[in-house]
Amino acid sequence: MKDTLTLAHINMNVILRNIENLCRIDETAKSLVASDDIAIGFRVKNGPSCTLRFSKGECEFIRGTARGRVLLYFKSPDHFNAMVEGTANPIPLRGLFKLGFLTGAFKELSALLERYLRPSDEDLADPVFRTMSTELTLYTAGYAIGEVGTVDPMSKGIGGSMPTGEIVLEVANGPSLVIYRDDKRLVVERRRSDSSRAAMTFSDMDSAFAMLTGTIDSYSAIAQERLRLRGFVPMLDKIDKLLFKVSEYLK
Amino acid sequence: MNINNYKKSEEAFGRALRVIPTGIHGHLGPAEGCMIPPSAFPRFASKAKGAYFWDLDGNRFVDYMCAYGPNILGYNDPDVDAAVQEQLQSGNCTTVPFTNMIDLAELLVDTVDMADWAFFAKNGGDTTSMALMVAKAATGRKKTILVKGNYHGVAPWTQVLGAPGIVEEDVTNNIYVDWNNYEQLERAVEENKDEVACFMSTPYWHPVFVDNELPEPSYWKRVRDLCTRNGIVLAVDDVRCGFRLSEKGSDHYYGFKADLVCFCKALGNGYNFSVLCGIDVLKDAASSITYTGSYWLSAAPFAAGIACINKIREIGADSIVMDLGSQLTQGLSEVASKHGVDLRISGEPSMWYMRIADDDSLDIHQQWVAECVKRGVFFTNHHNLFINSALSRADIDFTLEVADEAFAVVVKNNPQVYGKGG
Repeated sequence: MKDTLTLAHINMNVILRNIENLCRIDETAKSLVASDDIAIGFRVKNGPSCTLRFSKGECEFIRGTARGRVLLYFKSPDHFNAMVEGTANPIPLRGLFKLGFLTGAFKELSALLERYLRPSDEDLADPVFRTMSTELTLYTAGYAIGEVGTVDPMSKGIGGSMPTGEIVLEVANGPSLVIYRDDKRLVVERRRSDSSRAAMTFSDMDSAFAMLTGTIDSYSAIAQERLRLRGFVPMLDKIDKLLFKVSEYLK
Repeated sequence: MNINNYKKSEEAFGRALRVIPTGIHGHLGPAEGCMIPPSAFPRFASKAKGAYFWDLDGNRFVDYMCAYGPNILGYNDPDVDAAVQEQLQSGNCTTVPFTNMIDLAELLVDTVDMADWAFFAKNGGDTTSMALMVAKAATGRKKTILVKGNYHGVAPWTQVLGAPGIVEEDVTNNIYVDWNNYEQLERAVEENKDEVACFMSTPYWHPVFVDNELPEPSYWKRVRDLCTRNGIVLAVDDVRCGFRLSEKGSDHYYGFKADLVCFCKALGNGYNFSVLCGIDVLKDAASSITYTGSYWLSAAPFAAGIACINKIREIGADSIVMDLGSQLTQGLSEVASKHGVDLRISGEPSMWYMRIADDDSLDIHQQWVAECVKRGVFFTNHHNLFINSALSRADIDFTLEVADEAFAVVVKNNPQVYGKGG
């Protein structure tokens, strides 16, 4: 059961947010926005807001506020979700003359991100592509834990009761996310932690790829120590339940 | 001290993974968070006797999980096994039951203080679900008050909203209160006047991952009075504690009388059956409910139950496991103190819970348990442990020796907590 508002939060705070990571790790993405200096605001009525700021080949995702020379308005979470699916258009409130960026570089960035997140077998045969696809998929799953655990009506009780402290979701010698609960929500940040209370560590990128793409289930991965658990297990148990819900939204 | 090797266990686990989801599913498997890291733990047993089991690689373990409770007299108890063998000569799973079902029910009614009748099933969860149905049938009400953190099985009503496979309607009639908080319970009853069918709880609070808590001195008496005043069925989930605190029932042990008590685990020393015991006034409601299963009235487990309960009574197994548990936990505390480790012991001695409290992540505790298991003492990380009456003083001494060495290892490996000198 997908909740429309939660899906809008995922589309914005997970998928759009990942463009920031895409521009950081992929040279093509960097080159697409190398000469642009523009901010795009996304505002959803009764839903989330954000700003994507592009400057000198880098992208910054700013959560919760829609500002920029281009400001796009969506009349509902459904409207925004439809835009992400490619079946609706935004209502531009500002920056009508900058919309070329949206139909040009931004559209290409979106297509590139989709290629990483829904890779073909041919693309996955390339080890470099496969590693980057796994990294972006890890960020997608991790960021979505925060949205589901905060917004989804079935799951926000689990997120809201997350014990105090940091949980690390990482690949050994690879990318790392830190998850914790603040006053308002379940926060997910791309960084390392030296003081985590619990950790889920994939033994390598292949194991992360296998689990994130469903070729191995989490329980088997744990049993084989391809996914290592450490620390305060109730936190990991809640993350596991949220990940199950995340998979419903990301199908 | 010898460090275990698990080569054959790992090979067998590889086979299992190919044909069984997760290799070993459920709480006996390595993926439920009670065996961290999995590589420190054996996967399969080759034999068991008394207080021990041996794994495929020939490693012997003093077993403090007791199959998560069923082993109360020691594995392969000769009296229980002989009774089963004798019954098997006559039959087991048949179209009509054998009369040993009546013998067992009479024995339970005679042994368990509150029991006027006994209804048989297979698992603990069968009886907790049946208890709710009896309460609802008897009262015509739909709500249940449960204590946060308590485990009552795996049926949808026992799980939390948001867990895979659970929908709102599964838990919509559950009201949750904190353990030992009588005022909160009283408020919940008041706010749901004439709607609450049942209050269900374990006799003391023994969830996983946190220190266990005994009832406050007046807690159960006040709860009993509250339930009686409001026509609420008081059900005790004695699946884990049953026969490890008192053969007469854990409600008797804590000085009150429940309306329904759910038993399983220690009833048959590993032979599988469970029972819901009830007071006379609820017998009609129990009779009215359609609730059954293919193997529920099999005779061999009943033979085991009769032999097991008789032996528990004869040797005073409940007192024995309490005493052994006290000796062991006191010893563990002393050894921990010697190393400067803060080992917290909680719960009742016969099924104690322990936790190293020197970090807030349970990481050091996981390391220590792993070192113990690798040396032949089987603990799990975050579940309460169990004592069986076959445990000897020599086994306790061996356990303390292993614990001592394991503490030395974790102290050395965690200088950030214990200092460089340990």
